[in-house]
Amino acid sequence: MTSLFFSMLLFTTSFVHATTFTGVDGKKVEVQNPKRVIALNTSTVEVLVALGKADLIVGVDAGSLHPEELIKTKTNLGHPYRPNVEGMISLKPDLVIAPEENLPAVTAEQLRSAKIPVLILENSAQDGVEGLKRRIALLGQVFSAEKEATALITKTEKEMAEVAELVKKNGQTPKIFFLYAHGPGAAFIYGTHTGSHELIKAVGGTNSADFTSGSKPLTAEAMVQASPDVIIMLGRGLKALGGIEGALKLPGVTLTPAGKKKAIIQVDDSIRWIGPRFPQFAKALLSDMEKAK
Amino acid sequence: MRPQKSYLVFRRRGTFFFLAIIPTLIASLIFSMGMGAVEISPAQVISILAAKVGWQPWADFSEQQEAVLFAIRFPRVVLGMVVGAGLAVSGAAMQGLFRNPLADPGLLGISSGASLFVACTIVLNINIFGLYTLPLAAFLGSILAISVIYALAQQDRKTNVATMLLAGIAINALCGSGTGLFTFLSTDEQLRTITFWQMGSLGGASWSAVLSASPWILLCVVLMPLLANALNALLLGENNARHLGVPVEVVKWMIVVLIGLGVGAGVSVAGMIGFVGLVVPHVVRMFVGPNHRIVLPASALLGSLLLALADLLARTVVIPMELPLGIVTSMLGGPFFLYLLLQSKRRGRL
Repeated sequence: MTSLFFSMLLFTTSFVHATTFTGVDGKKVEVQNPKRVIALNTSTVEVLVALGKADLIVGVDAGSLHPEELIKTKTNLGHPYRPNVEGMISLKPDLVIAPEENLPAVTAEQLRSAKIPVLILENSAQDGVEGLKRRIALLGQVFSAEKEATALITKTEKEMAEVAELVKKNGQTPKIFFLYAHGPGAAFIYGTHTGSHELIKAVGGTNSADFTSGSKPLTAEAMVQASPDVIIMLGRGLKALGGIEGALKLPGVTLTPAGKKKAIIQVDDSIRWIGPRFPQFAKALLSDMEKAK
Repeated sequence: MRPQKSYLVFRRRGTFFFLAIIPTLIASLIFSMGMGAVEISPAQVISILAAKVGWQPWADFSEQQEAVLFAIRFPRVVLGMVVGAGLAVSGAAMQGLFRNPLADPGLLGISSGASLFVACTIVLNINIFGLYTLPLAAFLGSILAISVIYALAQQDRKTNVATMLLAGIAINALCGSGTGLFTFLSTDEQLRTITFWQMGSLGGASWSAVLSASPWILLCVVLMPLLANALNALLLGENNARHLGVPVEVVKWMIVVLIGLGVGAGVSVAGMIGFVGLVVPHVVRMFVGPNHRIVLPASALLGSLLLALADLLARTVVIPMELPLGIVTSMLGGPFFLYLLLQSKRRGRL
C-alpha cells in the first residue's frame, strides 16, 4: 500500500511541477524554490540535511541538536513547542516547516498573515517509521529532491530491516520503560502515542507503561506496577540526575527488575522525535541492552 | 484646614498625571510597535501608518516591516494596552468595592474559572470554534465563576461583600483542584498548552482577537468611571452610602458585571496576567489620592502603559525568543508591591 502511494507520488511529480502542497492542518502552501527555511523539530532538520538542503536552513528550535557543527551556525529560535513568531519573521524565511506539535495554530496564522508560507507536517511520532517515510517523501517534493528522498527512504527501510534481523536473533521481548526526568523532582512516565513507544516497539520490547497514552508524573506505585526489565532515559535527563546512581533514587526504581540489575540505559536526547537516525537509536539500544544483561 | 490642602495637592498632581501619561502612552505605543526581533524605527512606524491613510511616507520601509507591523505588532500592542486598562480599572473598582487594598480581580474567581474551562477544553479535545475555542472557553469560565460567586453572596436580597470574598476563595480553590485534575489527565502536548496558557502571553494577538475582546473590555473601562461617585460613597461604608442616596445594590451588581466582562475578555485573549490589577491602582492612589473619579481613568491609562511596556520587555530581552508575559508582570510586580508595602509600613499607614 505504502509503496503504491509513493510510486503514485513520484509518478505525478515527474509530470507536473507541483508547487502547491497541503499541510496536515488542511492549509495549502505555495512553495517556489525556497532559499531561507526555518525547520522546526530536529527530525525535520535532519531530513533536510540528509536531502542535501542543509544550506537552506536559517533557523531551528532549541530541541534541534544534530548535526552539532551545523546547528551551531543556525539561529536558535527557543522553545521547541512555542517558537516566537517575530523571531522567526526576523530571519526573513521564505518557508517555515514544522510538525504539527511544534507550531501552535495561532502562530502559524500569524506567520501567514505576514505573508510567510507555513507547511505543517504530521506529528513527528505519528505512525513511527511509516510516518517518517511520508514526511521524507513530502519534503523531497517540496525541495525538488525526490531522488534523494527515495534514497533516504530506501536506506531507512534497509536499516530497519537490519534492526528487525537483530531483534529476531536476540529473540527477547523485554519490558521497557521510558523515564523522562528533568531532575530529581520532575520525572514523567511516557506511555503509548509517544516517540519513545515507537523505539521500544522497534527493539522488540513491550512498553511497560502502556497503561497511559500520554505522559504522567512518576509515582513509586506506577513504577512498581510497570515493573520493567529495562529503563531507558535521555542523556540529559540522566545527567541532570547525576547518572545511574541518581536515577536509582527516583521513586520505586530500585523495586523494579531494571533497578535491581541496574539496567538503566541512556538513549539519545532526540528519540521522542522520529527522524532519520531512528534506526541508529534502535541499534544502539539493542547493543546496550545486550551489554546490560 | 489640612484635608483641604491635601485635596488641592492631589488635584494638582492629578492634572500633572494626566498631562504626563497621555503623551507617554502615545510615545510608548509608537516605540513599542517598532521594537522587537524585526527592527522598525519610530520614523518608519509613523511612515507605515501614514502611508496607510495615503500620506507621503518620509522614511523608507520594506514590505516585510509593513506586514509585521500590521499583522503582528500593531494588534499586539493595542491588545496589551486594552487588556492592561481593563485589568487595572477592574482592580481599582474591586479594591473600592471590597474596601480592601489586597482585592484583585482574581478574587472573584475570574482567572481560576477561566483556567478550569481552558484546561477542560484542552484535555477533552473540544475544538468546535477553531482558534476561538480557547478564548471562548476562558470567557465562559470566568463569567460562570463570577456569577456563581455573586449568587452565593446574596443574602436578604442584598449582596454581602464579606460573603462574596469568602465564596470567592472557596470557588477559587474548587476551580484550582478541577484544573489540577485536568492537568493530571492531560497528555504531554495538552499539559504544555495548559501551562503556557497559564503563564499568560500576548503572543497570539491578531486583529480578530483585538476586535472580539476590546468591545467588552472598553465597556468596562468606559462605564466604570461613571460609578466613581458611588464608589467614593462606598468608601464610607455601605449604610452611609445608602443614606447618601447611592443605590448600593445596583452599583454592586454593575461593578461585578463590568469586572466580569473586562477581566473575563482580557483573560480570554491573554491568559493569566498577574499583579497589574493589584499594583496599578495602588501606584495611582499614591500619586493622585483616593478619589475614584480620578483613580479609575488614571488606573486605565497607567495599566495600559505598564502592560505595553511589560510586553515590550517580554518580547525583547531574549530575542529571538520570548518570555511569557505573566512571568514578567509578576517578576516586576511582586518586588514592587513589597517595596510599596515596606514604604507604607515605615510611614505607619498600614
